[in-house]
Amino acid sequence: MAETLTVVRLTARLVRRGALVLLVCLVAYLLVEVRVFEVTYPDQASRDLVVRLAQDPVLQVFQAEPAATSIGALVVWDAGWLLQVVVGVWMVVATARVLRGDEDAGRTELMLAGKLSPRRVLTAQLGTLLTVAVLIGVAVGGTLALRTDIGGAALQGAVVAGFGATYVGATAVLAQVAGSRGRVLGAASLLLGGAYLLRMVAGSGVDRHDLAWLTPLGWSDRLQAYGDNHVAVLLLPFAVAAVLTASAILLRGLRDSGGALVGGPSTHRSSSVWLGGPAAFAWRANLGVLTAWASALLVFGGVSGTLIRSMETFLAADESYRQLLAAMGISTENLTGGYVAMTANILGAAICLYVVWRLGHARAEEAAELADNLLVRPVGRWRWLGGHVALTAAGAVVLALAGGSGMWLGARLASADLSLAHALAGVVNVLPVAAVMAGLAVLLLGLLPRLTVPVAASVAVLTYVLALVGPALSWPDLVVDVSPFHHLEAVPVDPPGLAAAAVMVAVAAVMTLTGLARFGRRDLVGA
Amino acid sequence: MPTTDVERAHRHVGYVAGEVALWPQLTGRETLELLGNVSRRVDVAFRDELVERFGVDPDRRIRSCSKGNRQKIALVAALMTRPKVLLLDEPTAGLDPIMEAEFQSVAREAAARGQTLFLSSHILDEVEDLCDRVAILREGRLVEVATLDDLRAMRTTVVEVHLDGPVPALDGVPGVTAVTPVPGGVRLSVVGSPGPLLRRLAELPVTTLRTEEPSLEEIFLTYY
Repeated sequence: MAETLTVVRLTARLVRRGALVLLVCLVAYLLVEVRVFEVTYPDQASRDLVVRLAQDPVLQVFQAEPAATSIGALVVWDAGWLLQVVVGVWMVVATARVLRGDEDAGRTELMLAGKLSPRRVLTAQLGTLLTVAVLIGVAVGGTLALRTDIGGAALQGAVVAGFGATYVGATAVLAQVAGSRGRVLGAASLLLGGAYLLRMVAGSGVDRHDLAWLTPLGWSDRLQAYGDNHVAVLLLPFAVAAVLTASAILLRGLRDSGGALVGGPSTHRSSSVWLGGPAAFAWRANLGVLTAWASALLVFGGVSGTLIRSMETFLAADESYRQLLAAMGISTENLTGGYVAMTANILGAAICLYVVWRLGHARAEEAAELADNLLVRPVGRWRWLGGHVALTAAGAVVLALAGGSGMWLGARLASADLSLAHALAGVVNVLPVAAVMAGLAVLLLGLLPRLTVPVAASVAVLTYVLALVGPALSWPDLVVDVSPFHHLEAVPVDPPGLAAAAVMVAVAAVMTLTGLARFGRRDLVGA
Repeated sequence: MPTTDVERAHRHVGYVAGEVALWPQLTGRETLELLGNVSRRVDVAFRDELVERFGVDPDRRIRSCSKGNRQKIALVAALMTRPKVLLLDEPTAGLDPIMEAEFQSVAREAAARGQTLFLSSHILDEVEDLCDRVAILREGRLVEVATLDDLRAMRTTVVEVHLDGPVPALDGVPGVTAVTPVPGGVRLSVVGSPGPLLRRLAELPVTTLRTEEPSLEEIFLTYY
């Protein structure tokens, strides 16, 4: 028992910081979200309008109708899917790191050298991860219960916990089947993506609603928290999580430590493509991830594009909608443009996260002492980090093009009136903000390398949320002005703010150069 | 050459880190290709010869390589440009005895060609076998740089004494730094003049007296 507790404590220690950040973010997000809905839709009439908007068949492909017209139901409708995707991604990453990352690095062997069998170790690890899933559910339910119906809040919290637990179980099974953390993450992302697609198919017609039972992202819709409250639906996520967890523990006994049930070949045909120098190799190492990001933004842009037409139809039919959208900050004179600008900002926020992650990769190479291999050869510090900065910029442009053309393609499919130039202009308009976030990441890399990703990513998310909810909640200008997102014009409705863009690019350049100079003069820092 | 021109200086240096970290997703061949392209001036024939001699499987991913195989790839990568200076930190860690011997012959050939090797090692036998000059570090400071012969001459003599009777305590004698009992006698390390020891021994029933060259390990320990 003492040994099991040791494994539990170790696992808890490995995930506690990330889990704490996730919990704080989720609680803060839900508090703000509830507040925004309370302020924006204070009376029944305005909430009825939202529900009518939600009944649009195109919108239902992405978000099922709200279960009721209460604030709680609307918050679940608006934020529920994003919340679940975030929880799902976090659980997948954390589970893959604990189960497979440590095994790849040979650290799990230290535990297996003790008295515990591999199955017992896995059981203790999974028990800890499932507890985290439950804590997330408790936090979600508890936060919602502060301002909304307690019964609905409890059910929603429970389904989020079950959803998280399901992805812990699924990733644990994959960790037995696939032989490295990278492969496990790849397969688990496919599972999440597949669940989202299936959810879309299920939402695309009344006769297909039953398909929502098959996708974890559909369970919340079936539950109807704050509405009909189908408690029995909760059995499904917890049963699936239990079966997956048990299967993972069973499968663990059937494979060698460090091995996998489905092994890749140990030798490979070598390829000399993109091995010409440090920058070329950095491009090769990130091509897969960039492709995944570009595909995701292409799809997201496309999905948003297909919705333009339904928005227009609704607006034409109803004056009160135009007022509603004006309250949401969408221009009603040029609805398509306003909507494109809003979507472009979301794409821009995603690009900000990409650039931070991308520069975090340079930091990871340093931390893992891999950069040493290049830096002891005739490669200067400036050339090495400068190459990463240049590739980050190239990646951001690729993503902007992907998101913009996705929007344009979606609009074309829905026969909406949106030119490619307008779609691209909207996204390119946000790039100076991405430059600021990249500059911040380089500055941190030069000064406080260990904080590169945590601080830069938090700043990107917080400034985006600040610009989004600050004005809606009438926060003081002094606070809202801190966010670079707040200084963006609504392109393509308005012309881009060149002065603001110039200031942002200048700030980014100063931070980048300072970071490069500091990196050139400091010692390399390990993990 | 200006030390500030790091890129130019690094062209003449080959380095193997104490903890070899290589990209797990690359094969050995890809790693050597990348590091060769970064260094330029690779002697391709020599690289292939080294791959052959060390028995590297170039198409295995680093991820599935043992510690020793990663070490071999790092050694090939450092040697293949024939740099003027090689900095090797525990270069034989993880190598099996056959590969260790192979490394020693590669290192000797490099030295014979005029390359300078800096070998950092705790395996003092290996240092003794390979090195002309030895530097000793204590608590991060260089306390000695000398050839092996000079070190031996100026530091320590090992004296083995066999006695007819019990062995008295000899560690109080000036110059004696280490006392190790052996059957029928004692083995002593002496720093500086052996005079005081000889005067003390003259009073004892000595049956045999043998002095020998100290091993590097014995010299090393006198610094601590």
